[in-house]
Amino acid sequence: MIKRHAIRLTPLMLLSLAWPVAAQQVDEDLPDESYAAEIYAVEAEDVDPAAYATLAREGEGDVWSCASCHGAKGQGNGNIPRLAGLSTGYIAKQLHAYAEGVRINHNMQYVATKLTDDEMLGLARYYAEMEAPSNAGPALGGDLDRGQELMIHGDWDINVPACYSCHGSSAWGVEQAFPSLAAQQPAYTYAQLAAWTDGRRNNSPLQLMQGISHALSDADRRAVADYLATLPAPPAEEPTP
Amino acid sequence: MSHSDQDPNTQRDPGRTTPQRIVIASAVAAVLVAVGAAIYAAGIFNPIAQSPDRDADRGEQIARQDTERRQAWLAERKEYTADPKATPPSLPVAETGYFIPNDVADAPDNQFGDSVRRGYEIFTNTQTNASQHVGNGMNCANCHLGAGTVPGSAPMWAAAVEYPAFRGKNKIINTMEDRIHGCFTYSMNAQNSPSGSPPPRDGDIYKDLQSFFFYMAEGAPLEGNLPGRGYAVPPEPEDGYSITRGETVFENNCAVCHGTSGEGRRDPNGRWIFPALWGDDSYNWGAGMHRVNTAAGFIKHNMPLGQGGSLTDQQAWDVAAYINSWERPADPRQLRDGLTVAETDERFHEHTPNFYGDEVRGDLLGDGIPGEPTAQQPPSIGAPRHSQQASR
Ligand code: HEC
Ligand code: HEC
Ligand code: HEC
Ligand code: HEC
Repeated sequence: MIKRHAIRLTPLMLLSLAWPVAAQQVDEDLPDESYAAEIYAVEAEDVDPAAYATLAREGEGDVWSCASCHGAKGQGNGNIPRLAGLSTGYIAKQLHAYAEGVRINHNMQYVATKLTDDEMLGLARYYAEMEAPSNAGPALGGDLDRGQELMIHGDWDINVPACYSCHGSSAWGVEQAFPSLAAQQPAYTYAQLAAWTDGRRNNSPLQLMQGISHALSDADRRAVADYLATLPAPPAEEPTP
Repeated sequence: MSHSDQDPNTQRDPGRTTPQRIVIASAVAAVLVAVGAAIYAAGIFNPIAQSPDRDADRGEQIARQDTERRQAWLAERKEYTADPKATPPSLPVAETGYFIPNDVADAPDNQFGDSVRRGYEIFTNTQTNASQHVGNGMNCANCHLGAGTVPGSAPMWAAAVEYPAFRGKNKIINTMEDRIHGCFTYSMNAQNSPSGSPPPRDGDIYKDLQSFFFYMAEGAPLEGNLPGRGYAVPPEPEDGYSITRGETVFENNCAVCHGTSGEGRRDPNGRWIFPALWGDDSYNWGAGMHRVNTAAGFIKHNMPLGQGGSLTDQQAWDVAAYINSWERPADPRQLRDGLTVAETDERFHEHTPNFYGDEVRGDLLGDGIPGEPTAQQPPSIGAPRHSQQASR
């Protein structure tokens, strides 16, 4: 029923697939990008997030405390992202991406490789079900009007749809695969928009964010990162019954 | 160590011969190239080594250029109005060759401008601003992208100058109001709306939408047949189109946004973000998009969102067939005229490529009754995230 590891691609098939079309597996140990977040969210229904609160707050053995960097309320700071209110599936997908090296960041790769699959799911739900007000604000000198324009209208001259049309009307995300961007730390948002163009971040369903990041200028990235930091934080994800 | 401390003598050439120098220099150069290549391959400096035009503010440049071109056109027009012997103004077009519409943000600060802005709001958020007449999860801008501005997405600046016109669909002269009435009837499935019908004739919804279109089209010639109008349909592939192949295209390129059952997705505010492609929340069997050719044209140029033009013609036709091979709200003409599906098929669906009245997967399409759900629906993946929050 669940579409796990939808299609296994041989290297030859991969070569024959022109960007950006076709089933997309960025790593052979990871599920298809299009379905990964939803698959993890279904898997996470069976874990109890409360059982992972101590791990998140204090760490354990090799596992560093998440809170030591991401903050006690999961709000993030500087180039460390807010996790509170991101979707379960999206968070779990990113932890797997770090662990498999399709997303490059030394700290998080170290952290993620120490986590078991269940810990990833439990921590994902722990942060998804957390609600914390924004502690972010514009910090990059971006043009907020331009940022709002990109959020609400996009810029079709450079083929960028409104961020709103995938990330939701309040930028609080849409279901599992489309993360909330609201109240995110601007330095972090800015860094991600650069990471998709320089290869430090290879994941994203259908490479949707690669195309958009390439089209945005440096000024655009600052503008939209600062604008997103002015928005109210996302609500907590409803716990699965 | 500061510069003045340096003994110039220590920098003297230690007395090598020219061939020696060449060999050493070549070796050093080779090492530098190798190191450089390694650094390049590692991608360490990629952020600063990007080509200059990527960092240039292209979006802003194009916007500025378009504004200048429209202003130049306005100046020409003014001159011509004052003096019929002056050169008539040419068309305001962008570097891409497409017409540059007026920007709603520049609409005048008067009653007409107010109407333009209301029209824009209706067009982009029909769910809220014409809610009484919408019987599904659609907004006008879902099929006319960029708030009706994008070429190849049936832009409204190109449509505004083409009515009244005779249409084969209803075999009468259609004004723009008739056209909009039709979009509410079919694309917006007004039969299932709170009021049960499209907006009353001559009402403000028509006036505001038309003000909005008219303002965008300022400077476009009447019956100009402008490039970018409608959805240019790619040639039908030689081998026709296939629902089975379309299903694969759908799973690989569309389901992430529109959902594995084409059901669409809402955000935590309950707002539709990814519109439904079939089922109760989608367009009905009378809408233009239910035709495989029209949908193929839309999809080819506009989908996946942000990657228009990336599918082959074959893929566009196949996936257009696939999404239109599922049940959707009834054709309002069937109910209006009290017809059976077969009669409606014969009267209204004979001359275009579509699946109305066909039996697909053992289900008669058009009767409004989806087949046996477990057997008919593609596998669904988990519950939508914010389903319980939708009413917040
Ligand atoms: C040493 C500091 C540090 C620790 C400890 C840490 N993180 Fe991170 N985390 C970061 C940084 C920095 C980033 C941004 C990395 C990047 O740019 O990709 C990040 C990114 C993430 C992301 C990606 C967020 C997104 O929006 O895509 C997730 C998820 C995450 N961390 C979860 C965790 C969890 C769970 C833990 C505890 C097990 C943890 N982190 C511990 C520093 C840390
Ligand atoms: C066509 C759909 C689409 C559009 C439009 C879009 N995004 Fe995204 N975005 C995505 C998807 C899908 C992801 C999740 C990537 C992943 O799974 O790793 C994402 C992720 C992101 C992230 C990473 C979030 C995090 O916590 O690390 C940022 C930042 C982002 N988008 C910014 C933007 C901005 C800014 C815009 C508007 C200029 C935009 N996006 C428009 C689809 C889109
Ligand atoms: C389900 C998709 C869909 C929705 C929603 C939709 N339309 Fe359309 N619209 C179409 C199609 C298909 C055509 C026909 C284009 C063609 O044949 O090339 C069309 C054509 C038009 C035209 C004529 C274009 C031309 O160049 O002649 C107008 C005007 C129009 N629509 C207005 C609207 C308005 C106003 C709304 C909202 C009330 C709306 N549409 C909603 C799909 C849609
Ligand atoms: C990145 C997300 C995304 C992907 C992938 C995507 N779409 Fe869409 N699609 C949208 C959005 C958003 C709209 C509405 C556009 C708007 O309102 O600006 C839309 C509109 C449509 C419409 C017209 C509205 C309706 O519901 O009938 C059709 C048809 C459609 N898409 C078909 C497809 C097909 C077929 C594919 C795969 C080839 C696809 N889409 C892939 C996001 C997506």
